[in-house]
Amino acid sequence: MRKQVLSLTGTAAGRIRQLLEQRQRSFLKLGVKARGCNGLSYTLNYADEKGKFDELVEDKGVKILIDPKALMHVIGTKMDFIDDKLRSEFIFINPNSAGQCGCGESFMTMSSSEAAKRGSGSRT
Amino acid sequence: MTTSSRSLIQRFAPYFSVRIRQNSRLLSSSSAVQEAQLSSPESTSPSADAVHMTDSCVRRMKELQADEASDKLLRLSIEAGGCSGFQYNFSLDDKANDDDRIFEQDGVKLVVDSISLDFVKGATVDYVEELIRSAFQVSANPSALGGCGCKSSFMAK
Repeated sequence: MRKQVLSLTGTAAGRIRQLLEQRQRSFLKLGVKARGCNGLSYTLNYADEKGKFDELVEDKGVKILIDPKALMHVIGTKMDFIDDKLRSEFIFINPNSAGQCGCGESFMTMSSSEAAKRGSGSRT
Repeated sequence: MTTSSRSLIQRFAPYFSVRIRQNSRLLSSSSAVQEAQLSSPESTSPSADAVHMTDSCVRRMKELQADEASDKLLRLSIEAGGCSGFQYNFSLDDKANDDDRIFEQDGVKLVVDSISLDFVKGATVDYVEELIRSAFQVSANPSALGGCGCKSSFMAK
């Protein structure tokens, strides 16, 4: 019995549902890429089908795909959605995160810092 | 006049040039005073130092204005922090303070306090809309040395 990789707040789930209905797409796919000031940052894209190694997470009636490269970095993350006048954005409360950029977009995990040392990982 | 090798004009030229310089200084200072009196303080700016807004930013501010009872100003300020030294902060304000500079574009006002202004001269404020976020962002800042990839933190020159 595996512990939930990713959990969503009600607000995040509602927003995801709205986005998928608006565009008539099947999934949102969560990934990470190496950039930002502190290691990694999250990426979110539409996806129409589950890739062979994608992790499918379902929470609060909403399905989300996780890119296999991102999986070890986001285990245990809680995804929320903040909506105020000046900005509306998905935020990620990640227990693996060792440090965070001021904007919260970039974060570092033990595995990402090791990956950086090894010089691996895709750089976009 | 046969003995002096320099003409009268040449001899008096230094005196004239000093006088001309004094006059021009007087003129420019008085015109500056006039300008300050004519225009409201801090609402005009030399274009090199101005903070610009993109069309997307102006559009978003107009949308926000529609929902508000009173006219709101977009305030850009600098805070210490972030991964590169300083970070930008956006807020909505009701009025400008005495030490603020106001940049107006298409009826939308962007306001920056005098301390923050040194760090954002010539910058551009944008409103980006992506799947993961929609937010105001400083998309280009010639006054900043380096920057955070997410564009919320920067190093000052």
